[in-house]
Amino acid sequence: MDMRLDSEQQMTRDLFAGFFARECPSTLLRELEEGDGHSPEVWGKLAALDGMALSLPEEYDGLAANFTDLALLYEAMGQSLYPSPHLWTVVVAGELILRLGSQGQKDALLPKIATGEMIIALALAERGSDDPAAVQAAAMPGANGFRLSGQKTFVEFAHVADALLIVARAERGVTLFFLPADRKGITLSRQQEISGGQFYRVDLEGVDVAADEVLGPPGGGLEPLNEVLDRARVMLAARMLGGCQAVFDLTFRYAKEREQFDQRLATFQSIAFRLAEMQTRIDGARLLLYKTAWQVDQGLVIGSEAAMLKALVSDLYRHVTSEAIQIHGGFGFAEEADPQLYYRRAAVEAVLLGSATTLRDRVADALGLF
Amino acid sequence: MDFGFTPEQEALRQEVRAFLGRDDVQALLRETHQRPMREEMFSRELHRMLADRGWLAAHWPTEYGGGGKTAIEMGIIAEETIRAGVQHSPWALTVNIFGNAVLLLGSEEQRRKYLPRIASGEMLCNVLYTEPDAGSDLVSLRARAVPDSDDWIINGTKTFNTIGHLASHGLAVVRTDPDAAKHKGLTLFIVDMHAPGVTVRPMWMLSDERVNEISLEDVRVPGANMVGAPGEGWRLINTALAVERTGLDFTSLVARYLDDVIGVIREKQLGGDRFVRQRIAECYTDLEVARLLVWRVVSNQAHGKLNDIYSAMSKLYGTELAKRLTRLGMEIGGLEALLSRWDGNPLAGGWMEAHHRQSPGMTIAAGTTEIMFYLIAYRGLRVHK
Repeated sequence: MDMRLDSEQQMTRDLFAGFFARECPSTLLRELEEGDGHSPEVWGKLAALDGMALSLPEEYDGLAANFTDLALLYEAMGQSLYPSPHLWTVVVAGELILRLGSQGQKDALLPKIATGEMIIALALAERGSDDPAAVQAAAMPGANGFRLSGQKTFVEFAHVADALLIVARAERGVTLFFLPADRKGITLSRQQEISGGQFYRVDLEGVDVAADEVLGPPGGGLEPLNEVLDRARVMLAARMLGGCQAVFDLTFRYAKEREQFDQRLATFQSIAFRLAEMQTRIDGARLLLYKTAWQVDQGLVIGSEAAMLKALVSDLYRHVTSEAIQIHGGFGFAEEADPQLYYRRAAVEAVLLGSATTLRDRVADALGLF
Repeated sequence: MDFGFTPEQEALRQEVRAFLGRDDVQALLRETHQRPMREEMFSRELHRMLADRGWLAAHWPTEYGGGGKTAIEMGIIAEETIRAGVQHSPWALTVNIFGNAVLLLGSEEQRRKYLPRIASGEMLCNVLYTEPDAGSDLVSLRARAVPDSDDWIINGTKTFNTIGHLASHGLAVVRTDPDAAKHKGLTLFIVDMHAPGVTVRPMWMLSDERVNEISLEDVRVPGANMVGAPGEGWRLINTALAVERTGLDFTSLVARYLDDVIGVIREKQLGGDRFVRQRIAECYTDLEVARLLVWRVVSNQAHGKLNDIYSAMSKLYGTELAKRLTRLGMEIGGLEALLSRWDGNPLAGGWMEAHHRQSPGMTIAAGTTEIMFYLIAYRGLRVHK
């Protein structure tokens, strides 16, 4: 047992933290929020740094790095609030293609994911539920395969996606469809949400899908999707935790400079102790993140562990961002200051891929309460 | 990074569990737990059984009677024994605090004199730090030692002392230079608890645990019992703290609390109640985090790294969780949770009541929550720099 990052892991962390600090300052975040939310330039540079290839197998031009390295990348992304389709493209779609795809699909898609050429969005949530088992969008038999209809919500980066991974219910059960995003019958409308992010409502009106655009066997989507979503929850938690640390650091720096009553804020016990409490909780959550990632690297199944981690970090991120604004005072509430950027992102990520309450139900299931 | 235990360490954990599950050991544990109120719960017999297996001081070098293993093996043993209900304070005081301090700071002669007898279970030891007017502000303590030829004469009052009535020796911190700055005038001595002038008076705590007020009146201590040099006491105490404060003993107790609350949930058939499920899942998650904070400290120790801020975080997190968990147990258990283990028909062994009386002490003993916050903020984050 040794909970310290080894020197290679430290290098990975520093490499990506440096990259995002340089390439994704908060001025860019503000520009992106005014614009279409995606920076092809930063995306391209991240690809050049092997940010997309990192976790993919070598045979598809990947680096075959382990899950822990990927978590370090995600922590760094979160520190700078870097908005990107990486989670859906690489962690969700890439992994599902790897697990379920035909050889043809793998050969055609994975190298493009590795180079950043292909962006994929996940169309899973529907109004009222984001549980794959409760999906209502219908996949009826069609001319050459299936015909999809229904409405998907919170499809992030659908507007820049080359392809959509659509979760729909066929006769045999939950099925995954992989098709070009510009297919006839697909309509996007932007959802106005708290973070000013890029979430889209996707209407599916008689969308024709060929039989070979199914990922995996028809009706066989639920289990692999749930497993891959648990992996995505770990990465999302890593990103959120990066955000926690960054907004904490920002607040800590401010509290050390700002003076009131002829005293620096950070030296008031009421502030100092809250800073101590936050850093303790962040440290603990980070250990849980690394342990969970390590478990994946050991080949262990992470079900309730991923749920537990994401639930913990969801509560923590909301808490830390709220405290950040409070400690900054009026200035923290101002749009021109950065804490609100984290506060709004925390609100989104805390419920993305399951709210803390939903996820804790899964933790309770694993506790043997009966 | 490696979050795993080696196969040997896993085997050790299984061995400890198997021992604790033995009928005779379980009978001993039941017997100590059912003793009447205000009767000592310590079982010398069980202590000896653990000693015979080399489990009291597995992490000490063999030359001092230890098992030659690392802090990780010792942590595994302590985690399992405490969770199983073995009274933890005699071990914590004797081995973890007194013994580790002697190992780390003592002279070769002191190590050879005390450590083998501690490891063999023959000797129990304690510390004489806290005073009526010096709790969190320990550095203001007033007990005095003055030299008298080769000896020192100690006068003062120590309080909130744990196991002083069972221990043969105590590590005392006293003021030897009243003119020096507060933190530079303190010195450590090993005091014979049976020496003339040592009086041990019981005080009973909310938890039914006995602590002691100890008066030291002209207690003569040989110069050879000084640990470290005169005036070094404060620095040495803080050095030892980073070794002894792992949070492991507290967090292992919290693991026990969680087991017992789950027992109540089962007994009351509340496993389907969403309020209950949410709150217990939350506590379980925090216990996992608390354990990681503990094992970060312990595994770092095994790699020769001491970090008193990590220690403070660990102690803080586990003990604050303890209080939340016992409040939850009382809430879930309802009226029946009020029944103690001395009642004829308690709920889930009467443990909710016992834990609820024990947990408030955990955020006070061995450094209050406020002191942990202080350490993390001022020594870790350095908020004032």
